[in-house]
Parts: sequence; C-alpha cells; structure tokens
Amino acid sequence: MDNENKSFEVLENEEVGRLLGGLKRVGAPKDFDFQVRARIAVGRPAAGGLSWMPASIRYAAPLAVLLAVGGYVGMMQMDQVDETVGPVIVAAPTEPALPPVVGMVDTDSTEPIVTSDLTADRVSAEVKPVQTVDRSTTAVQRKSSPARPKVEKPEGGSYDTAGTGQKTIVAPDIDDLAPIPTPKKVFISAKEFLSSAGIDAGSTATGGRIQSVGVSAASAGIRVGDVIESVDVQAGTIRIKRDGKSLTVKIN
Amino acid sequence: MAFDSVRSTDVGAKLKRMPDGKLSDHELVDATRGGDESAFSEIMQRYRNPLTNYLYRFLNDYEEAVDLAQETFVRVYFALDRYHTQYAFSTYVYRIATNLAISELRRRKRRKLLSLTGLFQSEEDSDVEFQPMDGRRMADDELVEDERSRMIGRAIAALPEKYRIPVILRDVEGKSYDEVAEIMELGLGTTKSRISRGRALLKEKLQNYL
Repeated sequence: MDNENKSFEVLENEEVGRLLGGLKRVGAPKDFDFQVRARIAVGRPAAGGLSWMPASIRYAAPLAVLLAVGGYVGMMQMDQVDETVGPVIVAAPTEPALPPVVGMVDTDSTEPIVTSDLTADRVSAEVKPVQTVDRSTTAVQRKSSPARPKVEKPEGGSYDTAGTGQKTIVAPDIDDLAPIPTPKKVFISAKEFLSSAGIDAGSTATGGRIQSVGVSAASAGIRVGDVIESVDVQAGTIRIKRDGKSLTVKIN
Repeated sequence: MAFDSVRSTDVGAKLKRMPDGKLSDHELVDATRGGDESAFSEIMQRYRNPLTNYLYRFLNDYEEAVDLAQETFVRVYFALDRYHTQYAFSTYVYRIATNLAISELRRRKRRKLLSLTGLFQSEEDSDVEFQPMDGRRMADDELVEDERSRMIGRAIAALPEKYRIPVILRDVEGKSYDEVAEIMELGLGTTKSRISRGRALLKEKLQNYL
C-alpha cells in the first residue's frame, strides 16, 4: 500500500516533469554571437568589487558623505564668534553707588580740604580735617553682618566663632561711622575781608563810606556811597547804611 | 579547413568525439585555446539556445536571459585556461550560467527592497515575457498555449532557487540526475530530493494544468 502511494506520488511528480518538458523553448537572438564577440573585445568582465552594490547606493553613499562633511564644516564656521563685530556693550553693574561723603579723600592725600568760593590768597573760613575711609579693604558686603557670637580671648579681645577662622574684613556701615567734627574756622580782619570783596572803604576820616566796589560786592548789591556800619567776617555779611536805611548784604 | 586540422590531432583518451564525427567540446576548447576562433563559435552554436532557454525559465525574463547567456560565454572564453577536462564542458557552462542567474536573483531582491514601488509589487508581476520573433497574428490555440506557458513560467519563477534550479535542469533541459548533481555540486540523493520537492510545490500551483 505504501509502495503504491509512493509510486502514485512519483507518477504525479513525473506528470509535472512532463508538463515542464512540454513548454515551448526559446532561442538566442540572431545577433547573439556578435554581441558575445563585442563583449570579449571590450575585455575581461569585472570580478567582484562593488558590482553587487546597487548603483544608487554606489553613487549616493559618497555624495551623502560629502554633504555631511560640508554641512558639518559650515555649521562649525557659523558657530564661531564674528570678531569683526564691534565690542559688545555690557551693562554697568547695578550695584548702588555709595553716597558721597563730604570731605572724603584718598588715603594717600594729606592735604586739607578748602571749600570757598572766594578767590584770594588766604581765604575760606573752613578748614576741614581729613576724614578717611580705607576703601581698598572694603569687601563687597555692605550690609551689616548679623551678630555673631564672640569668644573672649584670655588675653583680651575677641574673635568671631563663625566662619572657618579666616578673617573677613567687613566694611563698616556709614551710619556706624563717627560724626564729622565741626571744622575749625580761621578768622581774618574786617579790612582784609572787605579788600577781598573788592570794597574800598577809604580811611576812618571818610566814616566808612565806600569809595569803590568790586565785581563781587557790586553783584551782592553794594554801591559806592554806602556807609559800612559793621562787618561780620564769620557770616560773610556787611551791614551798610543807604539813604538812612540799614541793609545787611552777604558777600558770596 | 581549420576543423580538419584540429580533427586529426591526437587529443587524448579523455576527450570524446561526437558520434556524428563532429568535434567534442573538449576538442573545441583546446582549439580555442590554440587561437582558433571558429572553434569558439562552434561552442556558442551548440550552447546558446539551451542556455538562453534555461536562463529564461529560471528568471522568467527573456532580455535578462539573453544578457546572462552572453555573459556566460564571455566568462567561459576568459576562463578557458582554468578549465579542466575532468568533468563535462556542459556542466562547466551550466554552472557558470546558474551562478550568474542566482546573482541576478539576489540583485533583483535588493533592488526591490530599495524601490518603494517594488515593495508592493509581487515577483510575478515583474517578469518580462518572451515575445515571439515574428509578427504573425497568433491564433486562439496559440493564445491559450501562450497563456498556459506564461502561468507555468510564473509558477517556476515562484519556486525557491534551490528547487527551481534542479527542476529546470531536469525537467526543462532534460539533464540526467547525475548531471544535475554535478552542476549544483550536490549529492545525488539531495538532488533527487530537491527535484521531488520542487515538483510537489509546482503541482500545488498548476493543478488546473495537470
């Protein structure tokens, strides 16, 4: 039974073979030999290489590599900072400026400050002592630091327990500074004062009548013929009498 | 004539002379090696039609079959120095043709992968049918036969190559099992098994024509 089945299967398969054998046969074209001779004349066929690779990949791959390299180089150049552009203006720091302190000078300067509007050899009633603040040692911190526990050293003095033990110089607050003392004033004579103002009061024989007036006196309102009643050098004023009336004029 | 001079040469015991007195393949090969171009023409005369038919049934594309058949002869010509007479010249020629056909199949698959339209195209639709040489109008019987042949060709083209090759060599070209085994460089049992399996697969597809 098995053999009959096997031969039946073989017969069926043979039938397929006969079917294929009965197919119409095709032949080579008339110019077949000529084409072969032409190919032989060209030369040996290429052995291996990249012939297995599709033409699209063979040509596209190197092109893609070129494009990638070119794009990368272009992007690198675009990212570089353009040095031909002018300097970038950076906004000034917004740290608030310290309020001006009158009389503050550099620590190196020891010259007294003279404040006066009078242009004379010896002028100004005010000579202020130098009040210095060593700005070079001021730190960034302006606010008063919070109170830190202090430890008293046996030999006296104290030090902060906070921090790593390193000294931190903190600028003193302006409010903590000692008040500026009143400047001492140097008095000059009334004659010198009047002379500096350009006022010529003549001698005592004239009774203090003004003979000539300088620019500063004239701008203050003093006229020739006014009679000087008194001079307050400290206040910078002159009391005059004009037409029976007394006037006080301040000399700037 | 060139053939007379070649015929009288003592070519050795291994060379076979054709029954009708024509030169054997090996004699023609020797003559070609010696510079006799007419011997090579004779070789082409003997094998161009069978090779073209074999490759056409394998690829189901006539133009491609002709191209590969020509390429086969070109390679044979340049490899004549390496050819050994220990096996038949037809085996040598068919082996070269088979390798070229397999390479073409694989190239087609790669092309189909790269082509967007090819992904949606079946292999059966991509073949190029054999066109008759003359311009005669085909009769109804011929049209039916032509359609039948086309269907069988498609069925063969749909076979995996390891079954397609032995089936075509055995059933279409009429080669013996030994010759088929020699061409495919397989054992005889494996060759018969593959032929049987290929026929079984074709039987499923060609029920209407059996």
